[in-house]
Amino acid sequence: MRLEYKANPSIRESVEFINENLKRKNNILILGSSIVNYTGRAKSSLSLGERLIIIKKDGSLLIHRSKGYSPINWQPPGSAAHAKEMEGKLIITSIRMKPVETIKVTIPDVQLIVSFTLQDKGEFELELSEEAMRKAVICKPDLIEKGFKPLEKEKPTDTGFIDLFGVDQEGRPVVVEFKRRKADKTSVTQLANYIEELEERRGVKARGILVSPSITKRAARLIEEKGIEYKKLTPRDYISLIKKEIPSKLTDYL
Amino acid sequence: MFSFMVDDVNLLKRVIDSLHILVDEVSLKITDESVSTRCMDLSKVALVELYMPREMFVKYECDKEHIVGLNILDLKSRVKRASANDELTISYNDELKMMEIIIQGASKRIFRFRTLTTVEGYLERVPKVQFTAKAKLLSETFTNMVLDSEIVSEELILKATEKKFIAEAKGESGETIVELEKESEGLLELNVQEEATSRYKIDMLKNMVKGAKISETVDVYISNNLPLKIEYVIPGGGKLAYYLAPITA
Repeated sequence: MRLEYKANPSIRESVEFINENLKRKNNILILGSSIVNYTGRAKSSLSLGERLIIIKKDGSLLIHRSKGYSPINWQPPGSAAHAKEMEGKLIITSIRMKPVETIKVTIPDVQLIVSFTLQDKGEFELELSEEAMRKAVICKPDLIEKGFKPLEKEKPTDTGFIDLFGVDQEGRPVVVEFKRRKADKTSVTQLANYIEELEERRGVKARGILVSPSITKRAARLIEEKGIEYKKLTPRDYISLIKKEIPSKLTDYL
Repeated sequence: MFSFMVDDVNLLKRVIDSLHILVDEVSLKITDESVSTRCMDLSKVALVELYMPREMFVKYECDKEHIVGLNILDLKSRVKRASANDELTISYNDELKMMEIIIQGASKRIFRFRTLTTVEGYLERVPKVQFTAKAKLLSETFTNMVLDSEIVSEELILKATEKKFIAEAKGESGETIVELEKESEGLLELNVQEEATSRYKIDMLKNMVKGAKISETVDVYISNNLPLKIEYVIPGGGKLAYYLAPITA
């Protein structure tokens, strides 16, 4: 990481520092009081207050207050930023072309400016909880198979709790066990025990379905031996169902 | 400067509560005609709009347009000190540059506090939505639609057809359907230009129906997969409206 900073810089120093680092496509972080005006599809103004301003190398601009995870104002990647001095204040303008939207940040005094590069080739792996998998299946039972009808979650047995209990299209009992990571032999044995107990108690044949993003070879062999079924379900299959829970924002309709 | 004397202290308390359920800070616009505010909650999912014309007040003075940022708790804590029979005046002291709440009862009590400088500006517009259905309901009926749905789910679907206004909620433990037909006692009017269905989060809606304490009736406006608007009339010619973004796929 290459990092440079200036504490309490003058406005002129700030303008030079920011424009130089914008040219080099570095990430920039600015701490200070600011006034923010946005014009575009809507119009907003944010009066003077201390804030954190981030300009990323791809042109994204984020203005954060001291609370909340989302920025109060922002521009997407591809926006063009520029700094200048006007009436003794630092002015940062960020313009998005399509649609035309402008954010003008007026900073009377700068406390700190940091420029830095980030080397980051890490891969993002999405791993959701077993509860999220179950919620997705309850929301869309076809993820297991057509006609599957969930009836009860956390169904108690002598050996533990069945993740999800339901019936198939023919009315046969189905025991579903979710594993958010690679399923192993223990997962199969656990499910086999639930099925055995259920069959003994009810006196009817039950089906068992193990659900996970992947399975070890040993577990796959054991599944065949025990007559259990396997259903591959990756976060990609069900993330969209969980995302649906998120309401849209009113700003989309202004 | 501006100064206005409130006719009904308890009503003012309820109005402040109706704002506080969504926001902690407001930009109040005071003009020669009215007192109003329009602001969004932090998550930008909901918006509250308040309008109180000068006719709602016993005395009303305003020299020019003012926009003042207020912490609702600052306002609420002072107004709460007034009793129903007290005279309550809200004003801005230009010399001291402070808000003033004067409560005149058995004694004269003056509360002064600072305005905020960092509140987001008064929102210039509300969501542009062409509502295709409007239902006028008893406030209590609408509140019950929301609370009934909450038993089984975190979200509800509102539907308006030519003859019915319906709330549906589905959850792991079952489903709830509340149907109001044109003849139902709780449904006072139903105007549907085009059938509409839209889904909303109940937690937000539940807070909004607390506005029910202001008015006996509520107007609910919906369209297909678009924000809803619920509007309460405040006695004296004012109105309190909420907008809520839908859950979209």
